[in-house]
Amino acid sequence: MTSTAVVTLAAVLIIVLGVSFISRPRGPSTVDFYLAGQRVGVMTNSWAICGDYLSAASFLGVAAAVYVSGLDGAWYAVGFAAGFVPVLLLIAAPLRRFGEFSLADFLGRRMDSDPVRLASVGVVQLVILCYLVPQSVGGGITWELLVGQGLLGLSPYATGVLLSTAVVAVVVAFGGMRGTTWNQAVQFLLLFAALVWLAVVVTADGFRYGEAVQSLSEAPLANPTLGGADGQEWTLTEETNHMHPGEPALFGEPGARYGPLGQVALVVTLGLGTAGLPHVMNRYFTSPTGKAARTTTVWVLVLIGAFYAMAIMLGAAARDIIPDAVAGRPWLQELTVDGVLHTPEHALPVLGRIYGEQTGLGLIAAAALIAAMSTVAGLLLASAATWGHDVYERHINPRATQRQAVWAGRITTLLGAALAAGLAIALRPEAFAPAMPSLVATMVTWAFAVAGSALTPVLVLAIWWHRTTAAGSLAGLLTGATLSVSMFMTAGLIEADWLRELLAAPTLVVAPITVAVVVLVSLRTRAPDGVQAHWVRMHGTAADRRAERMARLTRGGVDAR
Amino acid sequence: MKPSSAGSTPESPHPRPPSAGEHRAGADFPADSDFPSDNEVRDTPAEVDAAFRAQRGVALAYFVVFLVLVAAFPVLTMTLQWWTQARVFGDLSPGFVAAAGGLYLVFAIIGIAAARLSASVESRMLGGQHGLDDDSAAGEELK
Repeated sequence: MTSTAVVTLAAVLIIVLGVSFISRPRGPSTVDFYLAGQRVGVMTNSWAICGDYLSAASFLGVAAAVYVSGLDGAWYAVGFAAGFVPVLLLIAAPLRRFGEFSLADFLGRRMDSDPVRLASVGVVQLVILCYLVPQSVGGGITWELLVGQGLLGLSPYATGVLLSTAVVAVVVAFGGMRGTTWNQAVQFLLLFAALVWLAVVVTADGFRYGEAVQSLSEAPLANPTLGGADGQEWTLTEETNHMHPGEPALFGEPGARYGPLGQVALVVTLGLGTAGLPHVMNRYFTSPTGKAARTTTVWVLVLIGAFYAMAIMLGAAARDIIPDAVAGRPWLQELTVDGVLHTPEHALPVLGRIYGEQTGLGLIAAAALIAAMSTVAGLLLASAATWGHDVYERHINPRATQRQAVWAGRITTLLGAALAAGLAIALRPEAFAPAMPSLVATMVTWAFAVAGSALTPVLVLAIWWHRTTAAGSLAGLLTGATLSVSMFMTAGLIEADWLRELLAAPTLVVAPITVAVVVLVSLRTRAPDGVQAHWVRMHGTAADRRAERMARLTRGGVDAR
Repeated sequence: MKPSSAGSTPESPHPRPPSAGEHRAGADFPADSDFPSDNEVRDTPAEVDAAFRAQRGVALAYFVVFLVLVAAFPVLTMTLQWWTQARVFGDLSPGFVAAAGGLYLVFAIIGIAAARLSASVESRMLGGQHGLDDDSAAGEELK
């Protein structure tokens, strides 16, 4: 283990454990454990949501996608960022004003239906598992790159998976939402600072964005593939142009990865999926008011826009700079063929090492580890909220004390982490190595597909259409989840064409079907009682005004002392 | 809403699991029914329904703008050569500028505009603050 690896890991541990200790919960209350007392301010919450949302897939994956596919790689970033526009317009404020513990809790209470609550728990857990496993895989891969050694006879990868997941699980189990919030906020700021540092040093070294894209677009886009007689020889292969077949794919033009339908399907899947991601949407329940939740989303849009714009620029910078940097750097020659990286996810760490030697590599690796850990924290907490509150408190032990309920959340957090770590290790036999980055990206897209196809349509209708019924919601959840899972599983079995693009990102097709099913079934069934009371609570602002007045009085009391 | 958990201790069982709002009766912000209504303006169902309809109009209008912007990219790529061939900003094509930064700026502008308008609608239609100046209310929202 190098001194850089030791310093990096020590810094990550000190930050995570230090922040968790300082911000630990003050008592055994479920509102404190799951919702941080519902007193998280606008800026803190926007940083925490960014930390929660920007996983290793966003930090390393977006730059990697641009590195390997040029302009088409930017579509991942556009989809990820676009997702917060529907959240702001349709969900943030009413969801917070209704004010429950989780998405499943919201749907269960809004429909006054336990079957809806339990179906939501199932869909939420499916989304969480699809998202959690690749993050644990990311932790293992980062450890493998940074440390390269295993502990207690385990492989480096398995050690990384177990250690990163265990640290986060302990932090979440004992820090609850309060500790997780401050961790995610600090972690986002560190992540953002790492990207800013890289963008500044690259630009100061003479990188010119427009000239680089122009220059990269003068030759057909080609990427390394394994070939040769024994299938172990790296060669550059030209990408197919999916937008204009017959013409070469170019870095600065669309078509290297998607046709027109694939572009739209991906953006819709990622965009609508965001609104159904339980770990992100649960954060809105921590806002003091609906108004604060809406303003938080505005800040999130600004911050993640800046983040993704920098990630795209750095993907282009890596493609432009690395070929000239290979000469005189033997370590880089091992990672490239004709100046192009074998593994595109190495783009940012390699840039970090080119400009900052071991320290630069350590900084980027720490940021990647932090990105994975902050997302794992959010996912574990969302999982704990659904198992601990929606299942244990509602169905297993309805007379649970606050202390029992909090311990149920802690235990389910640890169990969820163990399951994710086990699956991450099982999914990483050595034979999978060359396909692993695509498996990570694919599983994250599955999470967005299930969320956008099943949860988002039902959530939006529950908030904006008063005729939505429990039967309609149940039918919508089951239809959306079943169809989306069937479609993306089928996508892996057919040839690459427009149909496969559509099946791999199925929300464009499934979300309208889910909406139609909810509407048709709701119109044929009786709406739940008390919709008017729900409407006043969800779309009125009396609770906001009361909370704001209390906050002013509290501040006044403090000032007067 | 019944504040069933008001005054409960960490060890006291709940008759049924309370909602987050009910839990807050024991926290710093009291639940809805804990406050006397003497100096409070409550929202009536009719007011909320009117505000809901106005907010729905705002959300739908901005959502349509958002959808048109996102859908326009592949349409322009297929139909307008200028979109991918011209050089408009530091040797970048309009399509590249849009995907690499322009769309995020537009998303942020849509977000800010929608949040200001929604805040303005709420302050006008709910809470009896009909005389409140729109701009100051919207400005307060984004502080």
